[in-house]
Amino acid sequence: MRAAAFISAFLVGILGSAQMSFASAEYGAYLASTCRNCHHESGTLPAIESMTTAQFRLNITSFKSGERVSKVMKPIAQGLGPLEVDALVSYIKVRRQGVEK
Amino acid sequence: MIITRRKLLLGGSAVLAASAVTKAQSTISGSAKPRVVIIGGGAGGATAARYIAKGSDGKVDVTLVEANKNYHTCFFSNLYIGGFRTYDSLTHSYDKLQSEYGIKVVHDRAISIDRDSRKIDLENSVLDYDILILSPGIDFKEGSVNGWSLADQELMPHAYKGGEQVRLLKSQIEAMPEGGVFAIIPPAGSYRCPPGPYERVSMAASMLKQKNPTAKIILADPKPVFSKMGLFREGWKAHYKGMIDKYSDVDMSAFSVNPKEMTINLEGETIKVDACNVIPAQKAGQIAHMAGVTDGDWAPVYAKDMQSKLDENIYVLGDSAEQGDMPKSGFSANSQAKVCANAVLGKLIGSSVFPARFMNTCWSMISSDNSVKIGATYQATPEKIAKVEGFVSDRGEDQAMRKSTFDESVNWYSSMTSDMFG
Repeated sequence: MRAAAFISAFLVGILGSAQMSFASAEYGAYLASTCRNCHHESGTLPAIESMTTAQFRLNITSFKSGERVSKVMKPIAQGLGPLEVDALVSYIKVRRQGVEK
Repeated sequence: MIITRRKLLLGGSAVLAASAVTKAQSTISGSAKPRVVIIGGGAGGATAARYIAKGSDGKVDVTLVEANKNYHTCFFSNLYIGGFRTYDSLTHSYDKLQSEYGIKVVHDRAISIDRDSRKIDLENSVLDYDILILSPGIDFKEGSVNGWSLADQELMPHAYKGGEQVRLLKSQIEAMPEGGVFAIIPPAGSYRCPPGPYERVSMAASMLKQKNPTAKIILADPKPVFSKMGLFREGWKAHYKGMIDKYSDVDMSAFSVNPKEMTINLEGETIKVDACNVIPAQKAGQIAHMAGVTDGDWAPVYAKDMQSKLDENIYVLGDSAEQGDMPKSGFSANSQAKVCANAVLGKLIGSSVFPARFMNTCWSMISSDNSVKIGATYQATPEKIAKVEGFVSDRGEDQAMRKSTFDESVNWYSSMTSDMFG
């Protein structure tokens, strides 16, 4: 929880300006809350924060194209436009800087 | 006035955000922070409490009102009936929400809501709120099954809220004599967990096949079709052949149960049953009706944030909400709670409000290592929460695929409950 409070304070601090872009880590954090229903530290699928940004982009692209087959992931990936993918990547980058540790 | 404020907040002005907080504070004498009260600590309420507390960084006072000390999930309760989960594995505590997220958890029952003065009467205290989130799940419509009332729930359990009722139903099915009869009456209309009654048939059949293989299940359904019908019927034929007598499109005006005699009257014939699961027709949780935010059976909400169409200070989540295309499920309630939390934080502390997006998947277990799923993504339109794209398991899938769907559901359960309770 302390880590969560710290990360949100960090996000608000560096990204909480009034005119922030939607492709922000804050938007990414909001989008990532949906991923957490299945991709959670407590479960068996990798949390998105544990992926590299390159892996994450590749995963989304391949689910979107159908190269990787998944009934659940296909509509989710197709619902993420470039703005959303960039926002999620920003969020993962912030989390992977280890700020939360 | 409020609408104007929200529009301006969406514009992101820090000055206006500050004035919104000031306004919220000024409504309560002696309170330093805006107050959010959430009634109902299930998939909608616990998630909303956690996301608002986490996202507000201490700037919002969050109180969760829940009558029960522990939460027993309704989702996965059929797996307990089938012997695939323990009762304890479905039981969750509110401790972390208090100790790690600073949420005040009040174990009490809300008895009335005064919307003008924004006060809630609990049985043992009174709470003030700036924003009230109602997530009370379902209540039952009396009279929807002839001969049954809530007073009969010990004899013929509904088992459609998690906890004791489910334990009771399981013990009654287990106690059936050799070759006994278990009857299940699914509800008509809109109800919680559309595939739930049919997963329950599957899980009861799975348990009986092991322990009482000559037992029979009577499925007396008022509906002509049901969720994942082709998948269930295929599974029943493959795994429980001859065990399930299916009656669909049953005329409920000519159907009745007699809990004291343990009989049902179906198509003019009186049938002795040894266990009977009556799942009545449903409506929004009672407190939503008492608050006056319902229109008919359910509480209409705006799709973009789950705000009540009848009170701008009230939001309604999950089963109680009339929102459009999403099925009533724990996953739906959890998804709606995150959208609502984002909007409520924007309103109270001026944080960014992002476009609503929703997601649901319902997994159903048919037999050991054999599960199917149905799900979709959703978006907010001015009229309703509208389905974007959906998926459903295929008939004839191989064992590996079904096992992988089962594993997926188990992973979801653990992720979902962590997302609710921390």
